[in-house]
Amino acid sequence: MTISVEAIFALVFLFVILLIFLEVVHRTLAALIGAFLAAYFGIVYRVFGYEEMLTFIDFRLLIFVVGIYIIVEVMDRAGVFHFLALSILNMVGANPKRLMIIFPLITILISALLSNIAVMMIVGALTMAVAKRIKLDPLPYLISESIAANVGGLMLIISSIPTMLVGMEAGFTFLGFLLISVPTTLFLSLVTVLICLSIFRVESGEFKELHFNPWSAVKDRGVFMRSIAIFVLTLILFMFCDRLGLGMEAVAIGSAVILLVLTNVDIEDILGHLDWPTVFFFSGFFILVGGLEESGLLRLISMHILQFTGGNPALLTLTILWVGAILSGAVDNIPITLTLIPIIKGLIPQVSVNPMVIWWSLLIGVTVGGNFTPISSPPGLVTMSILDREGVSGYFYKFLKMNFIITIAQLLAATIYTYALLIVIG
Amino acid sequence: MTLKDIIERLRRRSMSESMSKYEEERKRMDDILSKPHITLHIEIPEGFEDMRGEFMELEDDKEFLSAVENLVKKTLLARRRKATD
Repeated sequence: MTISVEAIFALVFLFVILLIFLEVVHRTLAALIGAFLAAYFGIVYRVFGYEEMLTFIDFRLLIFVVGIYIIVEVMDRAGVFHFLALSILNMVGANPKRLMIIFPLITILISALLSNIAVMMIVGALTMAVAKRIKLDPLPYLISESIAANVGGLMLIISSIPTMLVGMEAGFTFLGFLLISVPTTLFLSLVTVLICLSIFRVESGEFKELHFNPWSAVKDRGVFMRSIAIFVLTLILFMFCDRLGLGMEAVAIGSAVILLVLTNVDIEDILGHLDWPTVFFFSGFFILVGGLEESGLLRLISMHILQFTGGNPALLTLTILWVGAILSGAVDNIPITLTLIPIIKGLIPQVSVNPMVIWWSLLIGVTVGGNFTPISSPPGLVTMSILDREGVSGYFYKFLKMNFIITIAQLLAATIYTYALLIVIG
Repeated sequence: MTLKDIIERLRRRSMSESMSKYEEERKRMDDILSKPHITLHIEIPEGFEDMRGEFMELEDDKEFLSAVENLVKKTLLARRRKATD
């Protein structure tokens, strides 16, 4: 019996996905095992050569990610995100219903810049402290925040790993991305807040002034001001980098270096806290996906998708939205995004749809899909840990039920939104 | 491996990775949101060593704590007056 190259690569891919899904090994190790097997079979079966294999790794994306990680880490230490969250809370005061709007919005705003795990640490701790002070049940707030943390990841091209991946691979400019991301995030944020308000039925309750000083979250005002100034400069440079003949990765890493110099932070400490496992995960998965592409397997999948949808633009974009969401609900959304990108690249020349609509249906799908269950994405897992730590018990099935209902509602809203996008710009 | 095992494994991993950072954040937020407070360290005065038990009970003595609170108010009022003069 002979086995085709496509079948070998499909087996390797399924093996890696299974390792990630079952958490048999860390996802980074799973990706590196996948890279090793793809390299071995690719070179032995002459699917690609060694030099060609090295081109599978997108070094521009890796530099971009590391640059953004450094900028955000320095800003986090300067207290920028704590200050932002506390200032908003200070301005609006607190009553239970108002907090049901404010906490998710603070989460969305901060997760536009910070990783969604770090966001849950800050907002989760803030929620517990406020809940203790004004005697609230923290569960509805924490559930809505864990869902909002994923939504905020759509705001900017630098907001999350899927937006960075799609943004770079699809060749979005910073402003081009912003033109669609802002209405999309606003729409999904509105939907999320309205669903949470109607599901959790929080009473208005008594209004309480909290009276605290947001500046107490800032240790060094000089570092704080400098990190904000450099961040604003970075955003401006992102907007004009194509006119300057620079890639976004150059702006990101350049700004990171300037920020490190101007804030005089401990560089070893900063670098030691970056998310290196994700960077290595990328490197491994790039080789695996490159192997899948060269073996012809992804082209085959593209053809089947085209056959299934008959090239119908609406059916195609909605298939990508829902398939991306369901797969991201089952497995981490980073490997799903990495795998779907080359498939979509193969589809785009064969359908008469504005590629932006297809890319956005993928982004919305993989982002919202992470909310399907509390264990589908990091914010849900962190929220469960916070609840355990705070002694809240018997929440899992409520959490699961709420996540499922809210995600289905978000996906239905996203279906209408994507369809509208297709009509307007498709 | 059952689904329950997978959930447990995921939870344990996320807890070990994130809880120490959460503890830091929680303390930081509690410090910012709670009323400002001070912790005093007072040693038993010389010559009262035989009253160790009574001294230790002062920590929870409402009458004593109220007297300390009044002393704080008097001191702050005096400082405020001095600052405005």
